[in-house]
Amino acid sequence: MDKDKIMDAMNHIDPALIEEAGRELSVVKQGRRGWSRAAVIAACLCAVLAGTAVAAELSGVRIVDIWNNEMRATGPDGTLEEVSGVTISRDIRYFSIDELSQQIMELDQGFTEPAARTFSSWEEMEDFVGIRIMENPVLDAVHSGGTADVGLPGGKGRFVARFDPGAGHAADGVTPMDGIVAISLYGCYSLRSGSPELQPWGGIGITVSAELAIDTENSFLDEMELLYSDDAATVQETYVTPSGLNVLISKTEIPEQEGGSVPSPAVDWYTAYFTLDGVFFRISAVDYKDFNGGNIPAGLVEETLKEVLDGFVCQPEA
Amino acid sequence: MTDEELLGLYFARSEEAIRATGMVYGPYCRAIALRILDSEEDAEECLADVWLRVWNAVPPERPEHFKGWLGVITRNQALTLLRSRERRPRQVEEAALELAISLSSGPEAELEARELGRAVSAFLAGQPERNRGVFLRRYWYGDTVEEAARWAGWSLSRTKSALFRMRKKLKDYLKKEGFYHG
Repeated sequence: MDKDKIMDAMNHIDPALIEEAGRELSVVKQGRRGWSRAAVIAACLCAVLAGTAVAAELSGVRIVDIWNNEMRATGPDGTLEEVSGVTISRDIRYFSIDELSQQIMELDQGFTEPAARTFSSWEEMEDFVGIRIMENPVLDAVHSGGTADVGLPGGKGRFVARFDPGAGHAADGVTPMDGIVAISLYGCYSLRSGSPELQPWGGIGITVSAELAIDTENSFLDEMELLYSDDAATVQETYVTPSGLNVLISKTEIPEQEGGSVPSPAVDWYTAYFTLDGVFFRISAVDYKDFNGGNIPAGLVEETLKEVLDGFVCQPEA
Repeated sequence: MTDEELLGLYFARSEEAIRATGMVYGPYCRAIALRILDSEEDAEECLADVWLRVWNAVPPERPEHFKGWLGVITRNQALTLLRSRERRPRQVEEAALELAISLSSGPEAELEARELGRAVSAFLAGQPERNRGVFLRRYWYGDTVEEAARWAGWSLSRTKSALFRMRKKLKDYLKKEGFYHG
């Protein structure tokens, strides 16, 4: 079909539609909805906020609100619970679907249910998505290890991509959701795997998650809430890598959980949050305490996490 | 002045009809003509032809959507004028090419322009209002993607996503309606 035929065909469009599109529209300010709550559940860390760097201004990730012991609806049934936490703002870039690969564009057609897919490497996952998401020589040099499980068929592996549609309707309450609104990539790595001091763990596991927001009328991913419950403590730290990447690191100390068929050991759970080129990253590592007959040397997990963060290649903000 | 009052003047064969139409819809029609002709002088000439065509058409016609109908006549007239001068509407053509590429991959469509226009109308009628508005801003009014985004109050990437998805959906719709062979 040539462009002349298209131009001629356009002369036969219903004048009612032409008239409608000829109106001047006012800009509609959209509110946040939906996705923040999903992010809350995913990011729940089980701790009390003992936040210190509470007004931290970070490039890409910024704490915009802190709440202590507030009543919030936390479950799918809207049950109110007393919780604490922070709201962070993320300078997310909204990707247009046609910036991504042909496979993603095809998947996007008529996409209504969450889906997952596993890959053999991070690069293969990036090829599938169609863009380079991270450059990190530290991670490139280590073995993949561990497993991510995104809770979907075909969603368990060392490198997993999860694709999510929007839910329900747009802010106008009428416009149906359309296509993919978020792509989350997960990669599991094992660092220091040959180190004798890390027996019996075999290494320090690092999980990298990168979230891409696809721009539709329902992409309200700009803010995210991190909830903490009241049986542990969380401290937060801002960390700047040598290449200028600003990172918010959250450390949650979860005490040993007794009872049940398998007691849970005490752990320190580290999560680093940052945005790089508009992609939101979450990098986590767990420090087990007195578990399986030994302790990981003090500070080694945090040191390893920062080594990974230092490996991210980025352009510092002007 | 309402459309009903304007049409009343045409039906009464009052020459005031043309002046009043120019007052109410002149800027709208001029913007459409200018986008295609890219010349103030040519746009003036185009509008003079448009007012004459309207005068000759009403009555007997009584367009239900007078503004949109005027837009269609203006666009048609501007393209005719441009072609008579062996010039091409650069921006409108660029948008049409974008749409043509999306529709032409796969089996070749054999459609008359009128039939295709009606099919596109039927497709658009089933889309959310702002989505079809963005589509028409881009492919009918010849807006740039940036202009269409401003019109809708959307970000550029969101507008590009919406246009991309609508082009795909339109192609699927035309296939489903039997407009493609093979």
